[in-house]
Amino acid sequence: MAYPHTLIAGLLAAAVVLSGCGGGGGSTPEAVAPATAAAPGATNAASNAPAATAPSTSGPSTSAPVQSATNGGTPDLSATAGDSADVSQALAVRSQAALVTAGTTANAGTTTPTLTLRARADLAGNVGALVSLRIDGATIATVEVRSVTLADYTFSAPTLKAGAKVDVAYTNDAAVGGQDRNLYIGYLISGDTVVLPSLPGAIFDRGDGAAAFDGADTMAGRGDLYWSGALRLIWPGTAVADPLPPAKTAASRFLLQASFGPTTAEITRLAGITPASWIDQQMALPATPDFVNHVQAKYALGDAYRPGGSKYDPGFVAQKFWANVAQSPDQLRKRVGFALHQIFMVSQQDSNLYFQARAYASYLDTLNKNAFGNYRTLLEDMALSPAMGIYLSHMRNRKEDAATGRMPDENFAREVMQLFSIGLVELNTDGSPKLNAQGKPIETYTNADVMALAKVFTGWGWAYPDAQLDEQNFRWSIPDLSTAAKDTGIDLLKMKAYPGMASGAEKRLFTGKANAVVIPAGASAAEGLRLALDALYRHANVGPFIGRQLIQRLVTSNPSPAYVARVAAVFNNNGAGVRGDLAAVVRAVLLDTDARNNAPPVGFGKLREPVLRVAQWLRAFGATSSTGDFMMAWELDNQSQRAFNAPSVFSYFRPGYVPPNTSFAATSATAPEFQIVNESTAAAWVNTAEQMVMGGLGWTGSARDVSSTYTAQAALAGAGNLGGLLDNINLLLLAGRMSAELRQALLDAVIGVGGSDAASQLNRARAATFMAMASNEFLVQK
Amino acid sequence: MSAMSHPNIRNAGRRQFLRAASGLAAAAASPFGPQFNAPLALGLAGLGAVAAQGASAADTSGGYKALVCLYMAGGNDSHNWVVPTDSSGYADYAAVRRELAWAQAKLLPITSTSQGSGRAFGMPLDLQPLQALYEAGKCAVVANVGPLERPVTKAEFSASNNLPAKLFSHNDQQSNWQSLSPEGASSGWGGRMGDVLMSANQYPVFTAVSAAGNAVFLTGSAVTQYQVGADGPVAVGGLGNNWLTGSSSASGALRRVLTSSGADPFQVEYARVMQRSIDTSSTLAVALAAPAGGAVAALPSNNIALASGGSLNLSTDSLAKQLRVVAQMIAAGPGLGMKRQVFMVQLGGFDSHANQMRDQPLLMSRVAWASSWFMSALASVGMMDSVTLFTASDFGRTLASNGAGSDHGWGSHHFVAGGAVKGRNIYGRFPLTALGTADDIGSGRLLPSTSVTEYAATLGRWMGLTPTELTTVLPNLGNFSLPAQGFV
Repeated sequence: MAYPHTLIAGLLAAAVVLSGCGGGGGSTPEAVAPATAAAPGATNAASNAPAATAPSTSGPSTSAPVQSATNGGTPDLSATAGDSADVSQALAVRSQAALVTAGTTANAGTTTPTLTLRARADLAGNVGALVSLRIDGATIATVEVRSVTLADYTFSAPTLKAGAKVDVAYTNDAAVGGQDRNLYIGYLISGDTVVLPSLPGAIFDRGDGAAAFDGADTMAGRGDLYWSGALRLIWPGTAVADPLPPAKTAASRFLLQASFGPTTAEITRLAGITPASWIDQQMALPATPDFVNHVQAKYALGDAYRPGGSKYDPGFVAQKFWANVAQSPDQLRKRVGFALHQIFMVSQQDSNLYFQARAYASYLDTLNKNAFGNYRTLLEDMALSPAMGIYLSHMRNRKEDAATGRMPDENFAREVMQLFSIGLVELNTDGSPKLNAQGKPIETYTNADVMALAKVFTGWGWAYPDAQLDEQNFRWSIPDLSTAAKDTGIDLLKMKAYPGMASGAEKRLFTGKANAVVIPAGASAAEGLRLALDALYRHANVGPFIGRQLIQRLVTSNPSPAYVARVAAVFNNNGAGVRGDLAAVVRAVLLDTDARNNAPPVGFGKLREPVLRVAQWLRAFGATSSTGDFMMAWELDNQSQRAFNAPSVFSYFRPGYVPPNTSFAATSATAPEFQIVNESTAAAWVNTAEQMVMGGLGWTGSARDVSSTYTAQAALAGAGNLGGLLDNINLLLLAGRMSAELRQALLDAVIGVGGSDAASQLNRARAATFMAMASNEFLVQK
Repeated sequence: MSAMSHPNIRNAGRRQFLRAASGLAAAAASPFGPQFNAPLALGLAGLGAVAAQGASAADTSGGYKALVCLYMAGGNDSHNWVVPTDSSGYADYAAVRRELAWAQAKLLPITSTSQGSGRAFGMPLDLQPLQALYEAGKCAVVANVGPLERPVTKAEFSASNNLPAKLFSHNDQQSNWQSLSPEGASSGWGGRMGDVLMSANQYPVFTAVSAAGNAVFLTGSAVTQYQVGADGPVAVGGLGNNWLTGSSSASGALRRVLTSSGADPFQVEYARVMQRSIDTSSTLAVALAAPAGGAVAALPSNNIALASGGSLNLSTDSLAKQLRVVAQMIAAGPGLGMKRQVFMVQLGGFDSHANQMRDQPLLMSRVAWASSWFMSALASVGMMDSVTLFTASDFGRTLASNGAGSDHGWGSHHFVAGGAVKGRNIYGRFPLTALGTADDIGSGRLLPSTSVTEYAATLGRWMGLTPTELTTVLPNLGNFSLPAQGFV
């Protein structure tokens, strides 16, 4: 025993390695050929330690170790640390050879099966750890491990079969001049299987020579070898031939666009049907007013849960949102509903909505109900929603008064045009602005139009019984929801027109435009509303204006003009002569050739907004709520996307946002989600991801409410099937497009977890999951 | 290792340094490919070295200076912030504002020598701390400011000639105020000042700092705004955790994962932000913890009784918290080798279509108390004379009431405060508070009598910008005859 304080020493050694990884380190091991007995024709796949791929913050990485296992004993010094391109390539080659099952890829004929040992050593007397590798008792290679950071030692070897006996013997433990030699094994890779030293059943058989294989003086399998001896293990069952078949990765990708995220079950199901069939099934699911039902169920717990009561919480609504995200079967409707919320924004940030949780819930149910309905109905339902009426202040809006100079409130009139229907400038079908003879965009409306439309939205108020629609109720009354006895559900009804409260003036809208309309003097409020909303609905802008935003919410930030035009054409005519059929529009968005191209061009896709990141976690890992209430209403406040709490009617971020001083700016490419990306929110996301994975999210008042047990992932880790663990995470979080670099990082994180008990396997699952969710690869939906 | 010795730094030209500092196109420029992005890897020391390379023509002698934009999102109804109190003026005001009018008893007088004899003005009790600052000579009012391409008359407005684009629209006029262009503008005048001034700073990355999230105001063509949290910089906890996820190696792997980006543009740009976050958070946290000029006091946690009822606790107030982190950065600025900084803080809720008389007084109190605390905090660390705070907002509002509030307008009165401000006066021309005047383009929407361009030029001159640089920052400056308002 050459090291007296093994456990503490191991920890210290790990810390040393970490600092080396971060800054390039001060050590400069030479790339030395191992004392090798590698089989003829051994692969020369060299790889680098992680330091070589980590951007240095303290200077150029001139000292990153590069190890080679060569067949002729010739040092391979070509891949120096400064030559990053070669290093990257070497890494990629290694990954392909080691991580893709031979015989299943197009270039299988040129892929030599290999066995890779990832290890590092403490040198003594400038001699590294001598390692002898045995398969079923036959020595196939020996190597001197000299790298002080984890490096790959790759050998030509047949792909290991389940049940093969593998021994990794460390044969020269010693202390030389105060230097203690040790070997640290990260993992072994053969084919798609990655095996940790802590594999269940693995043992470390201490001793020199034959004593390393005598079955005496053993302990549980471990990677930190402070004594001569052999790590001995039985190679576990191999993974399925192709863990990431195209049907599954395509299904996962589609579910990222069309739902709040894939689950293993839904990927499997969708892999057997077409996306069009999946959409048909989803659209056949009936809309349910589950937001209102949830708030109502809370109110039913007692008056304390009602507005003004001690247990009332406007966050009831967001709780139901997160529950729906995690559990609701009608994912397409819910995802489109959330997209519509971001266009037809009503935000609970408005304190006037604080006690209107049920009216707010009703607004969200209305969005869900109309998600596959007609845009014209949606427009009117929105306009008359009490929550919208409060938010954009056209509820109780009084008609003009020439005597006092009072003008109607213009708030909703302006935003219904600018944000909910036609936008500011006239558009071509492909979403590009029309230009006038001077080459300038053409504004869709004037301030006179705003003032005229404001008159249309006068006289609307709470839907008291028809006999009670008087001025007193119009101007001052608020439905009393504080007790069940007084609650008559007025907040669930569309606003009503109050006789005599609406402007009876003639309203001329869009004079000189194609959608011009005159609402005659004396027309009823309902008639004025109908004519005005028809004028907006018929406007040629709606298809490209709303269509482009739906594409952005579901599929890609900067859709091609042709994509927008195809979707807008469906808005204009669903094929059966109907305008504004949102079910057809949603189909067009999701089934478009651009959306379904599973090898999209560079720049296609979108940054995943914070809500969707958390949503995906909830679904991918089957997170559950200890209270059943998903008490997550305050989550993501520090990342500018607390659900239903956008700062204004302009939503969480703007559809036209182009991040300045970026490659997007160079081509004026829109990337809306970047509007809420900054130095604070980027760091906060990583912290949230760590919290989410290690503890959970939400708060019960005394504990985290929503968490996952990572059962499937921990089981894969526990079976020694790290390759399967990474494939699982790759499919669920990245639709199969995890890069070799990220895969390596996950492995590197996982192998830093010691032990083989259940807690260790859970931590391995967590380490890999966290690392994936922190990565910017995860943050981008392609 | 000194970043100065890095061959990529030593040999490149100044323009490349600026690009490197802002991160612009840095990924594409790296000969090593995106994972080996040398400029990104420079870190803070590199950014500091960058600054030392070039010198601006701007006068950055005479010590540290900072501008702080206090943005009131939604369009502030300033008709009720500065109110005519002489009998004729108040009668006009009360007649047009009706239910939105302050009672005379609710107004505190303010000194005004610039608006002609017979005119008098007041500020509501809810603005008392600001009024006190004004009377102490450390705050001024700039009357009826708004975005203009060039001076325009009411007749030109009616003919839609020479008007800023998309008047009365929130997002476009927010952008117009901040950048002089509607939404979609690629840079703001605060950021463009930063472009000129950043080379004077040891850490150019902190030249334009928002405590209010993303704002076009602070976007430059070289400067990228640094967005600090109201509680200070946010660090990635996992990078300092050697037992992250129960793994001895996860922290190192995390660093690699966060900063490598591949070729995807979304990933590349996200990784740039993340790299800046990692590079800056610890440096800034250290600097804020022990600023050269002394520690900035904590926000008071007592409940301040307000003039219109209710109370205010600054320690939990979002605007006060933003101003505190700005004060901390200002206190730390000279120690970090900063010479010129532009900051932004923001408060929302000013879109008073309804419930104006219920909601606006609290907003007034929040602005007044937070600003007043900010000035005293600066004074206590010896920085009050080095800082000028100014207000901005989407637009002014209609004088006419809609019965419960007011609607989107144009010109609006604004405030500047600081030790260098020539206060206790109203600058510009204060219009009559009535309908049908030459300033009224309908419902009491005011044609601005001072342009944002002139307002900004006055501030820019104080920051040391040369006339040529001012024209770069404010391209339409030549359209105005009074490029300096003299309030600072």
